[in-house]
Amino acid sequence: MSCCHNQAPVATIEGAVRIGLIGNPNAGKSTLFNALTGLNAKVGNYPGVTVARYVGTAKVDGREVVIEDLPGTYSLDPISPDEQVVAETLDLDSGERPDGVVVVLDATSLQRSLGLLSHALQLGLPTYAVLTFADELARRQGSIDPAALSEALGIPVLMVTAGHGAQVMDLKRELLDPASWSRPVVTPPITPSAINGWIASVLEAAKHKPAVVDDRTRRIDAVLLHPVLGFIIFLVAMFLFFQTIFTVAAPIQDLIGDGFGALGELVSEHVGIDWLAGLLAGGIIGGVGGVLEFIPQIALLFLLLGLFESTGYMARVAYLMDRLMGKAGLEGRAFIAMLSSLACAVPGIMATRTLPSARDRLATMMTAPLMTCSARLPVYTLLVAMLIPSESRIWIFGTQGVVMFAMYLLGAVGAMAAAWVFKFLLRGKGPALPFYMEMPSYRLPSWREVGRSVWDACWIFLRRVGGIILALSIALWILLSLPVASEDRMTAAGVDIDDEVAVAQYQLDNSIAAGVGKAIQPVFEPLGFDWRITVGLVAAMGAREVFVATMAQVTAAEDEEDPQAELTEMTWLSGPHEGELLFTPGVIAGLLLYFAFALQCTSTVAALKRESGSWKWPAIAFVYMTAMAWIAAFIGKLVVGALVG
Amino acid sequence: MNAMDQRSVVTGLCGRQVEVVDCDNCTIIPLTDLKCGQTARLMGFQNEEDMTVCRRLFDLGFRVGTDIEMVRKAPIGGPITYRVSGAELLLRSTEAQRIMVSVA
Repeated sequence: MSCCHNQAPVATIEGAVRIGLIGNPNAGKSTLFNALTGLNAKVGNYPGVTVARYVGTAKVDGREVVIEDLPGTYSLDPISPDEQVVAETLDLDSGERPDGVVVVLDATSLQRSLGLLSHALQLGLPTYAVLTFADELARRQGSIDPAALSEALGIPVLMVTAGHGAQVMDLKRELLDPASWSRPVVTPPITPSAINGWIASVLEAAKHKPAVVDDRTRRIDAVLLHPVLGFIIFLVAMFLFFQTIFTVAAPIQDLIGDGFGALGELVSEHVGIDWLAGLLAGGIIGGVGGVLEFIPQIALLFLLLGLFESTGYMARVAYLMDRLMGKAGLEGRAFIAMLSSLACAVPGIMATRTLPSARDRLATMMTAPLMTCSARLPVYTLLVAMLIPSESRIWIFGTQGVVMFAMYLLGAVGAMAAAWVFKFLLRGKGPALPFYMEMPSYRLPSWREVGRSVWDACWIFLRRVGGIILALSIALWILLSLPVASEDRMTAAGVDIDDEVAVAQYQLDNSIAAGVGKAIQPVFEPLGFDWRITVGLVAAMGAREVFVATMAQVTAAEDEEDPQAELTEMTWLSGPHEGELLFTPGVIAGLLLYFAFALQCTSTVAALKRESGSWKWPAIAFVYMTAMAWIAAFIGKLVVGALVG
Repeated sequence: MNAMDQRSVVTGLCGRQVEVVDCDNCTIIPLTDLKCGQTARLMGFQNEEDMTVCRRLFDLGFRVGTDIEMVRKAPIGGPITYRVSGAELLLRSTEAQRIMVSVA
């Protein structure tokens, strides 16, 4: 990826003091950043990597300080892309090197956070220490003397409790002049054993009494992480999570879809020129609607993820699922992305940001699109209904439902297997990361942080993915609608120009897309797909569910939502199979399998491009998934064909 | 765990030396052998072909001389929760096996 046009929208004010915030994950760094900058923050990206960059300004006494919230890190010896960013930003040669750093120290785990501080003091930058969670330290019967700590460290120390306005104000004033901060007389040591000694002596001088075990967290964990009860609660939580996304987001999505549909109709009625009306209604308004339809899902998903993260439950989910995900070579945190992909792969791919390992992130985002997303559902419903009579039963269960369940299972197993292969192929690339994860104490959610993560996710989606989806949607509309069929030609072809359905069918039959469908049909010939099915597959590139409507158009079905009857009667128009039924059980099974595995969704391609940082990965995903789909469809057609006859 | 294995406890860390902590009247075992609720003192790391792992464990608070408590173990070989340097951390047994601790 080129770095130049993808730079973050960084609020750079000439001459303003620049401060970098660093700290362990969960140390309260983001809460502090939000308190300092309020709404004056922007999210961007570091060039070339998918690490979100937060830069904001704090205003005090009419002056401004630029504050950068660096990703949470345990060490300045980086092993993940997030940590690389921290190390590079603070590096001597960095053009972005701040004028001073604020190290956020979690008062409840000072033994560890002082290790990062000792490292930070080696940088030679003015350094300020902020103690967070002092209230929790007190609740857990620990104590620390900030003044004595400051003296022992040789740098200024300030205690800041979240939501304490006066303390935040004091800190802002201090940040105005990093040059005035006191510097340590001696730099801390660098050898591990000497660091241990240094930390011990600093803590002793600061009259540190460590926090006792957090009883509240232990008691909650005894239930939530219980080998049996914990899993039951987890399954119920996941079920509700999934239900909420479907029951709350789906109606809003329908509203948006209907709204833009109505707007499109209004436009086509009032724009005289046919092709322009079509482009505006079908291409642009339809495309914008298609982009906005994702927003309810993304907002809700990130709201729920934010709540899980903010309360500390996310770490528990990863704990419970780690064993299962380990089978695919992934870790517990990848589960969330896979689960989200059941709704839609786009937010699922965005959710891989929580993974610290670049390899895991890649393996997860490359395979998450195999999970059965909601867009596959209408296609499956149609095809399964064509394949299996509704009265068919296996024991007490309807066979249709069983097949449907099997399709979901197939997607999940396929995703896990593919992830395993990717991890295998990517082995040795980059460092082997140890798996570790902190189990933070349970805390009340910070609504400000949750709100910000929802806002950021939606904003990034609109800015970076929305444009690509819109462009592809317009391109697809052009393919399906050009060349415009003139009335003379249609009359000559014997089409009744007053019959809207017939006109639409003629238009589609003679479109560029039909040409493409006919051109690539030989590829699908062995699967038993004729060019009309191929056109359906081309149209499904916009969104899978479009397949249903396109097939309805192709067959001029009366009910666009349910073209089952017409499809069942379709026959081959030409060639060796002329007159034979097109949708044999083998072909239907093949189509089902093709939809299960193929990467048809352009929005997913766009999200992959954006999150992986290059077109290479979406290209690989497209190739491997299409190949997998073709082979599965071929085998499915042979097997089902042989079984049913 | 025989005497030879105990000698092979590697104490180098990312090129930075860790002094060997003397251990009389105590047994050195891998962290994975701790029982639930048991506390032990970290002595060093073994089989560290990969320095980054040990360096990271150090940064996570697994430091020589630190007390570690085994808090919880997920069923069927899942990750293990340890309390170290005031925080609870999850490790998989592959990583925990590298950490050698002494129990009195």
